[in-house]
Amino acid sequence: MPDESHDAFEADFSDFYDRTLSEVRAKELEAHLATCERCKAEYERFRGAVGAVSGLGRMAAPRDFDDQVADTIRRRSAGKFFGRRAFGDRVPFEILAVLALVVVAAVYWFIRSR
Amino acid sequence: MSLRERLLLRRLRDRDERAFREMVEAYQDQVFNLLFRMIGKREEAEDLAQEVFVTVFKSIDQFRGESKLSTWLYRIAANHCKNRIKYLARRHDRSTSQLDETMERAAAAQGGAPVGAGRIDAPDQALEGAETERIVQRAIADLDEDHRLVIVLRDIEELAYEEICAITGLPEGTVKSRLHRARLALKEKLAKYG
Repeated sequence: MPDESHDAFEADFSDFYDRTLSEVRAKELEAHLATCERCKAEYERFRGAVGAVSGLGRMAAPRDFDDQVADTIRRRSAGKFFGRRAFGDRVPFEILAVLALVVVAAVYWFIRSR
Repeated sequence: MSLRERLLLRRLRDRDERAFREMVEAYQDQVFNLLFRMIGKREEAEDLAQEVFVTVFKSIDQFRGESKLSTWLYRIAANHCKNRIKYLARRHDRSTSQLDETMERAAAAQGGAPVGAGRIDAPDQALEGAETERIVQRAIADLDEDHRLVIVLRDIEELAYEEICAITGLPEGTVKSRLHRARLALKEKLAKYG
């Protein structure tokens, strides 16, 4: 079999491993792996390598990690970061300006109408 | 984005410290694991994880909630990783000789068989040894940073392609082909280290 055919099968290893290969192509690859020692060995190495990465243990952050981050944020913001923000900080200035105009207009209309 | 995430985001924008702690506790291990597997050093990963969460809080007002909070966090973590990897490369901060000794000892303990060939056929068995884990970690660290990121997101964090696309900003076809090349490169590196 020409090298290109082996390469074409190798190009599908990832999709085959992830089971995202089309059914027809997966069957072709399975049949090829059953008869081609070279590709079978390569696929086993491929599967072994990906399996080794997937099998790595999960690392956990230190127990007091949230305290460490909170301390860093406090230090860098000189203690100003946390704490509920004032109404004026949470509502955009444009909305406050429109509200103020509406109130002034309402008062003006009320005075004029009396 | 779920309703729970939206409520949390609202509290985060109000700079509510309890909300901040909830978020850190919910995502710290995911972020730390990603960073550790990308960088390969615990101290660096701890330092970088802090920077990720500090960035999250600095830029929380800019997050529009168009993606999941975890996706946004992963994206920030990935960007920090890229910068740190470049910085470390400039500093030549890689203890190569120490890792080589580790690999030699591991190979000797396994009868000199290549880590990526044959001996790793049963990954569960092979990974029982901390030495083998270090070799796999070293192989990941030797990949170029783009390959490293997709392999960590897909094969370690077990994220769906859709989420990897959202994190990297790449189309699905590019992510798939990059992942395939990364896995092939990893296979060769593991075989070589044996």
